[in-house]
Amino acid sequence: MNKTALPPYIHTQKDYWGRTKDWAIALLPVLIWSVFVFGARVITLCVVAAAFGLGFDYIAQKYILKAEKGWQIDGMAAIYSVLTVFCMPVVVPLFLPVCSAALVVVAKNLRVIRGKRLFNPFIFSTATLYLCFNGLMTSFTRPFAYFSAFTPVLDGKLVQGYRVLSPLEYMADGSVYEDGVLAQLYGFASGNIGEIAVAAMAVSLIWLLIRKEASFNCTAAMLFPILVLSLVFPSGDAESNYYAYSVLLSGGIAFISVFALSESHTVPLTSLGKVIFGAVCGCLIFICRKLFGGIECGYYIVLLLNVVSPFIEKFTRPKDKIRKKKQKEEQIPAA
Amino acid sequence: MVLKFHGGVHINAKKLFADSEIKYIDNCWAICIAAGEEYSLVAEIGAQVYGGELLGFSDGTPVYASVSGCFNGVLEIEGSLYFTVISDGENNQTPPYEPEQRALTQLTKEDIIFAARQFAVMDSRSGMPLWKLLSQTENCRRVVIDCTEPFPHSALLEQVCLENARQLVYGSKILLQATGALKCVFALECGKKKVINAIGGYAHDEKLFAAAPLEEKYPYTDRALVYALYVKNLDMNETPAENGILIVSAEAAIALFNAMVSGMPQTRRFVTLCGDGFENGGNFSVPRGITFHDLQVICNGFPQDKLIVKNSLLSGQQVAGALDDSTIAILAAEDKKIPQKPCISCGECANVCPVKLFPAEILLGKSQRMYEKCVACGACEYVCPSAIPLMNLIKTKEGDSNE
Repeated sequence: MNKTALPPYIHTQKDYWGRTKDWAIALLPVLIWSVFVFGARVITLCVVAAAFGLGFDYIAQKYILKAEKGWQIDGMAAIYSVLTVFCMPVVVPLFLPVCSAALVVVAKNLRVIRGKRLFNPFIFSTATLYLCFNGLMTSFTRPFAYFSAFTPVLDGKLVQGYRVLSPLEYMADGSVYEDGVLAQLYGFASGNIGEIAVAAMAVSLIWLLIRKEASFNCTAAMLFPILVLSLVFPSGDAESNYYAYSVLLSGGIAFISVFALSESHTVPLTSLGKVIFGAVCGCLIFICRKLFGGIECGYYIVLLLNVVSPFIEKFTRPKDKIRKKKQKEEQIPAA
Repeated sequence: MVLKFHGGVHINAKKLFADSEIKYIDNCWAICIAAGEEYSLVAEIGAQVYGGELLGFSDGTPVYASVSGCFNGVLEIEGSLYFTVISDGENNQTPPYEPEQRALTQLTKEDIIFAARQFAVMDSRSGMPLWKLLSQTENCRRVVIDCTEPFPHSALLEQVCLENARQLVYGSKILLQATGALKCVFALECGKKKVINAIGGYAHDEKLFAAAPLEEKYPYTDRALVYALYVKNLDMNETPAENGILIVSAEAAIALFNAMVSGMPQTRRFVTLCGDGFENGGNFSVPRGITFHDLQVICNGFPQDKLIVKNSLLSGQQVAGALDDSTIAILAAEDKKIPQKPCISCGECANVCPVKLFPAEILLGKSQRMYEKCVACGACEYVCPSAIPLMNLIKTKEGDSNE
């Protein structure tokens, strides 16, 4: 159907692919930094994930969903697949990005409530992979240990030789990351491909805010409770403020706050709803980290909140005030 | 401080004909002033009439000839009724009515409503006669003079306010006197600093006058203005007047002052002709009821390859007949054929909806609430990255459900 001779006679420059381009640009700082820290294997993982993401999405649209009005191939499946790769260690075998792409496409097309997506695709994919391949998904190696870019499955002994603890695992042991918070901030710590580059993620966040893809209130609402709770309830052998910074910079907190909370399909659309979503997410992540130690439970919390997101939105949507006009009774003159 | 409000879209656009002086157009072939459902004639059909001469009444408001010529009665043109005068090209004016001169403070609300009715002052924001607006307003606390443009490319009202700052302020004083309001607020886009300075040159009393710079987002609906100025959410069936707020166009305030001082009815309108393709576009003061045929002559023809739209590129309609009382802009728009794609649930439509709807819900068949609340501003369709004709879908389905 084409628009012609009907208002509006003007249309925004931001089209269907515009959002995909914005997100692709947002991923660049993290990707560049990850390649610098972990080597060319990052590119291989991302290319495999993106290619399979697009391919699976095409198949899903054409043969499973049988979309009638054109293809809903907007490139976001590739973006989500790359984001899932960002939540993996660099040493994962190449079949894992393929699995992640398949899971992304499943979650991307899983629309249940009011046509809205039920789960954030890349968080769903990551969380599932953590459950199924926990050993592979937690094989963190030290930075600048470059591995072969094209070897499908790396030698286990080689990987073990470079195996180090991630900042989150340090915190589970009751201590903070030994190389300090600055290493975590700049991205010299061990961890997942995209999660270590906190400074690069800040650049991505600024870009997403400029392009109005991210909500500052939502991101701030998630980080602020974590910061406050970490200051109030410190643990380990470090000072409370050092501990708080370490909590903020470790694991997937920065990643979730920048990318997962900017995924507009699975967070509430209302401003207040976004703030509630972010704040609850932050509080729950802190509580779960306290309870379960080194496990990154943020992904599961985001999924849980994705499910309740439509209800938060409904709750925070401005209510229609029905004006109750007092109906004046007509005075009937006495006979 | 820039005042913000919910919804609306910011459109990066170059102002067309900014700093372009208003050109006064007197010559035209004919004038066609819209007649309401109830009209009556005073002038005889076929009689020679002068500019400013009473032709008849339309829904209780006098209708005056805006040019001199032959009165052709009320004719049906393209499905609408018009008081029609064929111009003789001489533009002779009838002598002005000379009312009893009284100080402003001695005028009552009834006096001013009478004058607004007698001089047929029209509010271009609502398209209603000003006297009806004043009559509907009870316990008015604030008068808001709307100096915002109908769309982002226009600079007409900026020029109108700059050239008529004195008339605007004094007209506002008359409105304050008529309503008994405590304050008059000039609502305008935050970029119009020259206008604020120009108004400030005449509005010395800070207790009486204030300028309210608004963020540049369109459309400036009544709800948007009331929220931006007073942080009050109007209910759907609630009008600003019910809340003691009278919103009047800047043109109406200027016309009221001019009419009361000169004793002549409002026979002229401000209009801008702009957009790519207008050879001689610009800001104009034209006789009320000028036909689009005459406007074409003024600007050397409308561009053939464009859609000619009135008032707004977001929600305006294509032009037909003659310039009505709510039209202040004639625009040339591209006839863009944008292919529609599936909804990607980005939520942009909900972000820009001035009445806080979720327009994409129309695709899910949830539309009853939208039929009732949609103000057809076009913002949702403008921002939709999938080019889904949301506003038109809502309006089409509303029509279907009514049938």
